[in-house]
Amino acid sequence: MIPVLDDDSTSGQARVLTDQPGPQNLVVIDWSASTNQGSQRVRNEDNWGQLGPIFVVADGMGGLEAGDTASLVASRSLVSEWFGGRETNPVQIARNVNQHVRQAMGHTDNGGTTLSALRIAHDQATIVHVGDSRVYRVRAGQAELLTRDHNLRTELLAAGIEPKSSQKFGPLRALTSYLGMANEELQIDVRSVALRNGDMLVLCTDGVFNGQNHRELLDVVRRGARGGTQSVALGLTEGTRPDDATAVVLKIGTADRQQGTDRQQGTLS
Amino acid sequence: MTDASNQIRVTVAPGAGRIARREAALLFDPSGDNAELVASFDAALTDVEAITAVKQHLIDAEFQSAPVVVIDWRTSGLGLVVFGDVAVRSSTLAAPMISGAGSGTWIERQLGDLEFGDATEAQVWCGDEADDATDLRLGIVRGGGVQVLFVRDAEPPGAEIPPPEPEHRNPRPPALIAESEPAVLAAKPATDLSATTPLLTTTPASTPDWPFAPVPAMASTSNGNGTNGVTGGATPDRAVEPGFVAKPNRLMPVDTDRAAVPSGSVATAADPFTDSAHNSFEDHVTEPAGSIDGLDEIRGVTTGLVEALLCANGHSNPPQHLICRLCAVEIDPDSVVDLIAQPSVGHLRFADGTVVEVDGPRVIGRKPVSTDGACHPVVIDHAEVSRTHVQLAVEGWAVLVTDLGSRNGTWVIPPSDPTPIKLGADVPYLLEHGTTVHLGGPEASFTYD
Repeated sequence: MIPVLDDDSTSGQARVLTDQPGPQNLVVIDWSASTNQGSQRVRNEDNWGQLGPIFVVADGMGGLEAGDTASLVASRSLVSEWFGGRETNPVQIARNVNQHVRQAMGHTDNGGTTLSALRIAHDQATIVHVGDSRVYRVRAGQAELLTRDHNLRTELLAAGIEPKSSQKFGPLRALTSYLGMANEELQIDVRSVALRNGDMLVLCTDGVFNGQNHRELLDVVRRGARGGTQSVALGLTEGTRPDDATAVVLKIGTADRQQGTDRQQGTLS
Repeated sequence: MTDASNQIRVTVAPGAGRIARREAALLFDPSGDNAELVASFDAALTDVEAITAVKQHLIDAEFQSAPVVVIDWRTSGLGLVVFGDVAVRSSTLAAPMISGAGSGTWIERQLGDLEFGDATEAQVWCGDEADDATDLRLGIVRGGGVQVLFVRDAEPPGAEIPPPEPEHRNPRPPALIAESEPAVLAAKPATDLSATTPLLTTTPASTPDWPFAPVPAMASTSNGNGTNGVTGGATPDRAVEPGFVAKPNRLMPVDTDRAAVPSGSVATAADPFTDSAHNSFEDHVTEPAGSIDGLDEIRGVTTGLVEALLCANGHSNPPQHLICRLCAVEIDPDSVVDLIAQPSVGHLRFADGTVVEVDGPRVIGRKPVSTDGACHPVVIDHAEVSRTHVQLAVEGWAVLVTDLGSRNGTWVIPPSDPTPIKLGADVPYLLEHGTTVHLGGPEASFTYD
């Protein structure tokens, strides 16, 4: 596990985590990441990353080192491509990242990774998403899912087929899109969402929400909210879980409310 | 730009493959080895079913099939399905070439707008260079290549036709453009076509009144030799294939539960924190979308199920809601998430008082066209609004608005801040209730509530 850390050494200085402010001057005033290896895993195949106003989680799969490598390559290349690359189109950036992942996998089908990333700019979060990790926006005590899972279950629902009664297509959690697959088969979801002062954004891998319902997740967020994003991130990932669990939690506020120093923290494993 | 005002002409090249044309779709079988498939495409009741039959055939054959191409112009825009080692080219920059080589499944594209630019024509072609002297209007013929010619905005009857330009390479009589009336054989019948010959017509001698400019930058589809009136379209190898037996069009496997789902809505259901989806630990299954049996088949179906919580008054709500979105009562914490047909998730209120319910995808503009024919059009007749300005997509409980590269842009004003935010082209924006959307400017706007 080598989380990608912001290498901008502005130690001790409050720093506005957005490079493109909007009229409300919304920034990331506090963020934290936490990851926890699953009890049924021999290694943690999740990775997360952050660079400036860009945040990402990735959940690798494929066994041995393949999953870890795929999610590490995806998270690292995503932040670097999006932060300083010449390409600004998020879809094309995701395709570039996919090429990096495929290259790392030796252009085999041995592994792959999900990727859920966002960039804060112009009082909005622009989300790039492939796979079944998720991004939530928590506002006024309600959690709203901002991504859709790229899996068979979602496809069946969209087609009007009740998943329980139609399992002939395969495992319901089978991913229909992930990084590592051929570019022409890749589904990439990009969307922008408006932000408000006080919003909390949660990027998480499926180990976090596996088996939980909305209320349970909201309870965790509420309990941890007073302790800041670090408390929430730890709350979402702690405990014994079968699967790797990773959460990156962001608090949105106005620039003049930014607290203390730029925080770069995560529970490294 | 393939709306009703455009005229369509299908030309073919000699060869051993097969080409089947329907009213607004054609199938090209380059190898000629897909006889059954061609027949079922031809026999389907509707163009949509014909295209579905092709996909079904590929799925049934586990994608072990000879290459095949489907081109359709059913409602608006241009649809392409390309399978196998074959490439379709077009004069539009949006898809200069689409190849099925290297893909385990078919490649599917929908093009909303052919880029005519200054030209009056756009073309899509595949295989050998098509013979300009042919005009396939219906039925099945042998052929080694096919081209679809779209001619923009035909002059209304009686309109003055500009004089021909002297440098035309391939003057053609406008009478050869398929009309809206049932296709008929052209004046000069083909020489070797049997009684069951499809409506493949050949061009008589050059006529001077072809009203349109020559095809730009399309060397591969013109005969290039300055000759006109090539009668190759009448060669025997284009006679209809005897022994074709239409088989019943196989339908998509329909789950019995779908019968209760009203049509007309499109949704990709959100899957927020559902117990049923993740109630046990199991690893991801890395399986390409196309290799899941039947998955492609169910894509694009226009009915959806959505997870919902019902309040005490029976109102449906997103699963994460604690308070009913309609009557504000607290939702019982022990409520079980149900699957319901795509509900209306809000309304668009336009400045003139018009209210449009949001229960499925919409395209909004001055003269909107849907790229896949699935979106209901909403017309705003205002000068600052582009023909197809924005698209609205419904994903379960979420509504996304996308600026489709409009000339004057799209702005959103979320309820939390009065400052308009300009949307990036082709980046969907998640609408919150209370958001106002300006199309081109504040005069043409609607509010989502």
